[in-house]
Amino acid sequence: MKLSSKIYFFVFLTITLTLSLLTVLMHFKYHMTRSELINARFSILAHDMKWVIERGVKLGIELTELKNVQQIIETGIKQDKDVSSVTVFGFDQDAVEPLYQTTPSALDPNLSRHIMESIFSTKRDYWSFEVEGTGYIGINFKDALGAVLGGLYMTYSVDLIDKEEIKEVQSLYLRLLISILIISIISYFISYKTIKPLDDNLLEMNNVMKDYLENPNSRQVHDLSLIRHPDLRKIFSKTLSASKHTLKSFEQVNKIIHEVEKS
Amino acid sequence: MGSFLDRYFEKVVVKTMLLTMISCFVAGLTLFYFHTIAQEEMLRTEISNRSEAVGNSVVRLLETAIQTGIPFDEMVGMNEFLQSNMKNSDELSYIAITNTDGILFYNSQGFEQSLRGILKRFSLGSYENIEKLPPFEISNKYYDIPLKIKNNNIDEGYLHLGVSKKSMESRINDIYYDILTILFVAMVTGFEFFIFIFRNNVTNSFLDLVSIMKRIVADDYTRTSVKRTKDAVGELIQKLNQLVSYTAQNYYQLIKKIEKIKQADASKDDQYHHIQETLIEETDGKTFPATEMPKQDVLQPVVENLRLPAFLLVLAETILVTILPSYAAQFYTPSLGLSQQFISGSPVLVFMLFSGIAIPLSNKISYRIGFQKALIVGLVFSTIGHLLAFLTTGLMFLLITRAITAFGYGIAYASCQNYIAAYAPPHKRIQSYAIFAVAFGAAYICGAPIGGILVENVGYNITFFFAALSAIFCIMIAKRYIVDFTNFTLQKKRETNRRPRQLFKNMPLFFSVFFSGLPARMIFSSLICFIYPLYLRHLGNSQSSVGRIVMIFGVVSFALSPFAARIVEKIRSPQIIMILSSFCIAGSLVLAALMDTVAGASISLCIYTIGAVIHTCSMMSMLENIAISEYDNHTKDTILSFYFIFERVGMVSGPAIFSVILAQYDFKLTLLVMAGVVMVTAIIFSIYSLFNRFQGNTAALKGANA
Repeated sequence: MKLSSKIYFFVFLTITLTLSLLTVLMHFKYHMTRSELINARFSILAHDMKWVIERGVKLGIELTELKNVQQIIETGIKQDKDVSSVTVFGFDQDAVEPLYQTTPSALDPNLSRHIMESIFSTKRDYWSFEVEGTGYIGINFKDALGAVLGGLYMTYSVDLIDKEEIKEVQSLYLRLLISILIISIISYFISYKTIKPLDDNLLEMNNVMKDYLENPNSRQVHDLSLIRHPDLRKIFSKTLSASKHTLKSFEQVNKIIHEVEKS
Repeated sequence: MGSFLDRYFEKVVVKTMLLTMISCFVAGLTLFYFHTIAQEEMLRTEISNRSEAVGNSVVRLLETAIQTGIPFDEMVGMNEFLQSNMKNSDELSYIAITNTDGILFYNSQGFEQSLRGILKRFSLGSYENIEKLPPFEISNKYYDIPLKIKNNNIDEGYLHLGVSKKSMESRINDIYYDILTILFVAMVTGFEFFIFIFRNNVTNSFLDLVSIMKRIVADDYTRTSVKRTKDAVGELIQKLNQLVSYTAQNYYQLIKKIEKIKQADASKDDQYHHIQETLIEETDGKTFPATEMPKQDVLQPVVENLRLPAFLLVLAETILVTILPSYAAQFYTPSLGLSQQFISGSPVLVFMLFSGIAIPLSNKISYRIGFQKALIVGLVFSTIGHLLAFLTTGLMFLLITRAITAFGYGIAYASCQNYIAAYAPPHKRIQSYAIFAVAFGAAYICGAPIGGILVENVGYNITFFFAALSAIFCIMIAKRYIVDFTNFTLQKKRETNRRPRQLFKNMPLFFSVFFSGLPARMIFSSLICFIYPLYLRHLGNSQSSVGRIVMIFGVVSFALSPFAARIVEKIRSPQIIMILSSFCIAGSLVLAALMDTVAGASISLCIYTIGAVIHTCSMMSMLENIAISEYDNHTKDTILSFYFIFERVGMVSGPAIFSVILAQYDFKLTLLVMAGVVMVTAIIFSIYSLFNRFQGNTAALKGANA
């Protein structure tokens, strides 16, 4: 394997890994910022509806007995075209019980559990999560003593909301691919130019060594002119001469041994 | 010759590294540029949408009021009502209501009267057929988002939402800085990876080639080099190895022949001597192996190879360090009878406790199975802990997983330190410790932002899984690249004539640890983990700004550690540096307390980091000196463990003590108390050093001679 190819491979690998890591982190950051802003926007609408409903609750009227809730949520949903449904819920033992809904539907027990967990784990004044392509954002109702009596949640289609994000994410990854491609080509030429002379020199040194090892004791003079770098040529030549000199000295001794053996 | 070859290959390595780094940086900046444009656009749109949502809720109530017959211009308490709606959006500077002629009826606080005329001019436009009015730049301070107020589909007036340009720009700047942080994190991670892979596959091969060529030129045929790679360099090394082997074999055969002559015929003694003399003459200055084959170089332990495993080890932990308090808080229930703050801090406490227990055990394990294996054992524990945390369902389970991880982390951490202590070249000991410090700094820079982003996007459990992946990757690298002596079990720990507890009687060590190392660690863990973040929040910074300012610590320590180590290595009296750096730390704390501004806190953090980095390097140098003077009595590992245990104690006790002081008093006083602790201990240590400097140096000298 050529050294230049190997080094180029490492350069390519590093650039690809670094830029991919950068892109993935940027993607995540984009999603975080956008989700945060969208949730904040939805929470304003949720607060708006909560404000009216909670006043009744704080006066001591049961959620089920409030007459205007259905109208409030029906008007509320029209305020934001991205909201698909609004549900006001209370509690039935440890489960969520829908009381008023803009789009009537049964509540899945898993979803109920998810909502219960979110209600008690949120650190903000609203909670949010996503399940199977649907985003949920909710807010709790508290009575005059601060106990959670219920709440409301709104749903929205994640796909619809994320349409713009998907567009940006796609172009983000496209930019990554183009960058990798351009940088790889440029770095290939630069590394080729940087490492190629060393590669050629190493190739030539390998060829000379191959010749030399085939018959180390021959008096053949090796042509080192193809090793372009003068200092490298000089050092390699020194290495070969040192070896040749040693082998020559062995020959001298061998000669004497032969003479002795003959005699 | 060697120096030329070294320089030649070094040039190739530096050129390639520069090429890679510049390419990465340019491409990264390009991606950064395009992405920030998209982020900025999204941010502007979403902030406008949010402000509109606030406006819509006001408009809806107003329209209901108008429909019930309340005159539009005679509503009571409107200014207060508008003011109360402002709190729903941080970017809103005012809300104003005009009629269709642009006459101002109501406005919240923050509305500048100079804008009245502009609103009047705005109303001159014809908007009857336009449902959504376009936002416009009302002044150099605000964007205005107008919304229609209708009564039975007839325009009654306009609600104007003033979005502060400054707060919008500040949000955009926050995003810029956050993405810049991400760029930096990606670059550091890529850099660590590249250095490691390049060193092990290219640089080391060059060194081996240089080494064998140098040996042949010096007529040394006793050893062959390691062939690490299959590239052109590896091939050349193999051929040069063959040449060395061939020469050595020839020499061996000559010797055999000469021996044969001597044994065959005793009468040829003169000739035998003649041959031998010729051989000696011809091979004068040349070195050959005693056996037929030259000895093959074995892979030597290289402390630089610890850098990536150390980075990954600490990264796996720092990914979690910022998210654990909030994760643990999820399991809080009042029935536990503990405060929420205590529950949040419990994973960190358990971690400190169990890693503290593991450190002394690590020595025993290391000397029984070897440093590399001990490191792998620690990492396996750590991985198991992370993987179990992936399945966590409750607080107790989480704490158990943290204990397992901490135990493994402690063993792995101490094994790394022991490895450096055992294998670092004598003239580069402190620089070798600095490798660990740099890896720690780099992981500190990268871990916290990566952890924060991962948790928000993939949740807590998957983040634990990523930490486990980092530890698994670390195991693979440690197995492949961390070389230990294979006959390690034969190298029993050196017998010493004293028990570790007698180290308390070693005054230089006692004073160094308790009057310099321990206070420095107490300050470090308190300051970086909670006092600075809280203090910066108190000074009015956003959470992301706090993260960025605290990152100064990581960046400065990452950049400064290698230089500090080189300087400290050259200075013979580390205690002087320890004292000076302690005063530097104290000074930075006083500065933060007295200036009481963000700029002051940032400068003080910078000075603190410089002091802390130099202190760590000089502390390691001091321990080295003590280890030399205590050569007969204790091994270096025992001395290092002694320090590491109390370092952990400092890390745990610091936050506990200073959080109590902070709860009772304010930041200023807490910072001054911290400065006082460092100052007093530094003064005591300097008085001790002043009286014992001469004795200490003599002892160290004696030890070195021994």
